[in-house]
Amino acid sequence: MSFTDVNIYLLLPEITLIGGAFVILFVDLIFRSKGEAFLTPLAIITLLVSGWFVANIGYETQTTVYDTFLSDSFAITLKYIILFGTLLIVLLADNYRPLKETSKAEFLTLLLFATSAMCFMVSSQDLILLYVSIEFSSIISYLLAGYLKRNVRSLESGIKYFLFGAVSSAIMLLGIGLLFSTSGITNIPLLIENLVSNGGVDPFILLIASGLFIVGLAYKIAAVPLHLWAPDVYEGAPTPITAYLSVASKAAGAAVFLRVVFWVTPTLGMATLPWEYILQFIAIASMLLGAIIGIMQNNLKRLLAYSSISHIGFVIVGVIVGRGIGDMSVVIYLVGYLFMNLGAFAIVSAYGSATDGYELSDYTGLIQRYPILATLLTVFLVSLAGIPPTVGFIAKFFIFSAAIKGELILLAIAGAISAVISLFMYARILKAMFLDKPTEKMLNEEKKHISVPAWVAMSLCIVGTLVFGVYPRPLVELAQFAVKGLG
Amino acid sequence: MVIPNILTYIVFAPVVGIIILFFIQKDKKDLIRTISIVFLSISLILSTILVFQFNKSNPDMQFVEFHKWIPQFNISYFMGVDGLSLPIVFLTTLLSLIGAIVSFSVKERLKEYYILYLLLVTGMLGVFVSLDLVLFYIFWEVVLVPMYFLIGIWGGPKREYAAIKFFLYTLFGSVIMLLGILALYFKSDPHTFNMLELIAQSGMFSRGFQILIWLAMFLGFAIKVPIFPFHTWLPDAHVEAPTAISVLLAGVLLKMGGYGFLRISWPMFPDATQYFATAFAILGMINIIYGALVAMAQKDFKKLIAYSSVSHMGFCLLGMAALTPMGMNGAVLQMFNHGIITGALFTLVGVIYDRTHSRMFSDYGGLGKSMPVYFGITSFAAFASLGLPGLAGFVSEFLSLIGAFSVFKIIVIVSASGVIITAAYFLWTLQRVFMGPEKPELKKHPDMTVRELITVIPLMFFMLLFGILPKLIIDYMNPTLMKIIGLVKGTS
Repeated sequence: MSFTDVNIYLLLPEITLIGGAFVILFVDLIFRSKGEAFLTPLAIITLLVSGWFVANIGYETQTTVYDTFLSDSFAITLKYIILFGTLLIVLLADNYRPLKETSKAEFLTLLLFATSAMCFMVSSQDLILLYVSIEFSSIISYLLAGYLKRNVRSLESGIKYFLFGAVSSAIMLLGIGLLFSTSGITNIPLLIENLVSNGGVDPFILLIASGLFIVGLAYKIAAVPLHLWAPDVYEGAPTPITAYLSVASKAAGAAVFLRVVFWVTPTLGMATLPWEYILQFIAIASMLLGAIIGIMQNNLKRLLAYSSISHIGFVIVGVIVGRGIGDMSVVIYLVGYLFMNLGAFAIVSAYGSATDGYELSDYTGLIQRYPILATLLTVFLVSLAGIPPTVGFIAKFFIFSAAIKGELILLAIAGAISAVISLFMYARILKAMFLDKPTEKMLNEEKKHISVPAWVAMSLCIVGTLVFGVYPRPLVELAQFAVKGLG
Repeated sequence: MVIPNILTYIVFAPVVGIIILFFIQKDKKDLIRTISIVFLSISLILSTILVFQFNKSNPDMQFVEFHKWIPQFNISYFMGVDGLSLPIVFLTTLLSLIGAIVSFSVKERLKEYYILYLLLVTGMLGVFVSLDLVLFYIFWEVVLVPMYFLIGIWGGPKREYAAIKFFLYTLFGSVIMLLGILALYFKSDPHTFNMLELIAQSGMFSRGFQILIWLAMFLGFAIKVPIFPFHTWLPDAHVEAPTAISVLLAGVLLKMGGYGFLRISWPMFPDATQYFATAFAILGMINIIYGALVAMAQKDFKKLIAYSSVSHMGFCLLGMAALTPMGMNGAVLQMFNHGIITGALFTLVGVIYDRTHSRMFSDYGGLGKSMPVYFGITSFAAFASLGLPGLAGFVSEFLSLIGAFSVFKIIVIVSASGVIITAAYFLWTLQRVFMGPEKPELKKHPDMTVRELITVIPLMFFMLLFGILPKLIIDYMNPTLMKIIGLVKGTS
């Protein structure tokens, strides 16, 4: 195999991201402070160019680099989601006050590297590429979480994330090692095929291996019971990074989850492989625990962390159903989740940057102090709760459809209960903003300025949330396109 | 003059009002009120036109609008009215306008109030004209958010509790209903959310499946009606809500539940409906008696009327369960009448609340002397509510009871005693508020103002009209209700 056997066109999106990251680094190195204004635009251009490449790859399923790198319609769709999410994060981070004391160039570079890692993740069909890309994105995420070097919270979150992540990755690696040792193959579809046709593999080993593997994946998407890192890390990390973790990282992780479950489905006939039950437990626990514990939170970032845990439970329901409507519902949910969750975080980030307030009490009477922010946040929260006419409702609608179609009634009911409980969690924020009376001091405070890029990010999210809530057809068609590639 | 897409205009006229209100400064109070009134009047005028253009002999859907929305899943923007929905649509537009005028007593944060109010109206109207289950569900849920804020911000002392209780309770029922809707979609062949197609396919659904989905829907609708024991959100919500919102809650939102039963559960699950008929009637009876008895015990005027709502809706349940022409007509007529009457009663409570800021009977007494007009009108409404012949309430309660008697003898006899209890607590109320020695601190309050009279006189008009000439409205309802009975009983 030589260099010319690699189909470089398929890798262009990732190459662009890495190249763009280096360009930013060099601009900063060479031009120092004179180049600083160009860094964010450079990052945006990189992302847009990368997106353009994604659009032009061609929709047939193709593989390259020894069949490890898979480019199909599903990967393309997920890359759109990840790239768009990163774009919004770049906008949010541009004027985020705590980040101003740090090096913007390094920040953007790391961000772009992490994004490229996630793009690799959704395109991997090889155990090693999968593990390497997960590690790549995780390590950078640790750095980004702890990026505010002088902030104790941020450092703590970085270290916690690192420790938890390192252990989970090690466990996952053990599972991968077991799988490799039983078959000698690292290409996942081939591996599964091998397992199915041979049948002679010790089912006990398969059980252990798959369990260990799931640990790694569940950690990445912060699903119960591997969610314990999320609230602390989300709270401590700089808010744009929290937003990034909650959307891009989860989307990439969920995509990998979906792919793996899709590939593994033929082995379900092997009785001792209770994937379904493990996954169902994870789904129900995430949906319910996220909502219940979220109720008790007073810090917006922690609350949204638990809300993300709850949402990923819904995504897993879709993953479990798989096959057509299940996978479609996952894609729709991820897109909708991108808009509404990033929208909520955008406001938390912008408001936090302006006023340093992240607690519920800081949001008291927001409707009277910052009416536009409060109204936007209301729409995002209503969407997260799954109430029409928002994209959040559409997302939950399709997940519920998948659950009913797949006759997973228990999951559907757990989802219903979770929706009601989580509403209470979001309503606490609504209550603070609308119903609680702010003090005279709060009302008379001077209105702080919210940066233009933050407004742009919020506007993009609100448009997505409302338009797709009322006219979801483009989402449905995107989901159908994505699922086609899975075959 | 045929207006195409008239239903869309009726439903979304308030939304246009919302968009305009966004651009108006919040201190221009009169402008805000005017714009809201204008757009609600448009809806009312259009629905009146609807009434006059409606073909009374046609039991099927009229003024139909159909557009594909998500064709991959057979979800469409499908609207229409028939004899069941037309009276309720008219009721909604009428009460919405009246409520907006009642809302003039709201003093602060007017812009947000009216924006939420208009959104609420759109949601309510959409529910009654939707013929696609997803569209229906969306409008059903749209009602929840404005309600939460309207009760939570402008309500009484316990408003936050009442608002979140209402929200969570109703959402729970709604989500279970959603699961039922989805199950229905996947069981139907071809898969569809189109209500009319699903009704046509009802013969395909097995009895067990019908019962299951009937129960899922039941939860959603029963919480709204409300049916005992799912009624516990109602006293808090009604009492704490601002006056105009109580009017809409009692006048319209409760009808959403009854409408849901007749539009969805009855025709789509005929076997299940017949299976549960007796239980349903018993629940109706419990509503009537329990609601009346608890109303009797109330010291709070608004809470009394809230429980009287529970009681009155029981008559609807009886009539619906009976599946006889008289019973069904009585039930739907009771829905309309209750909206008018209880809407008037809540408005009237608002009159005294605006003056004294108390809803407790202990703070009232002898008002008949200083506020004779108020006394007269409240008595009128109270008599209508307790079913005095000559006023609308009598006709609907009478029809429901007689219509159910042929099917459920004992249940009806017990329920009829509810009428006596109702009379008792209303007469006692009139006595406590208006008669007896005058309290000196109450003498200073002025009688009803022109604005307040404008809000109740239309309602009184309908109370009298449909008490003397109920045929006028029954002619609209009967063909469709007969059709529904036929669908449930399997005859045509």
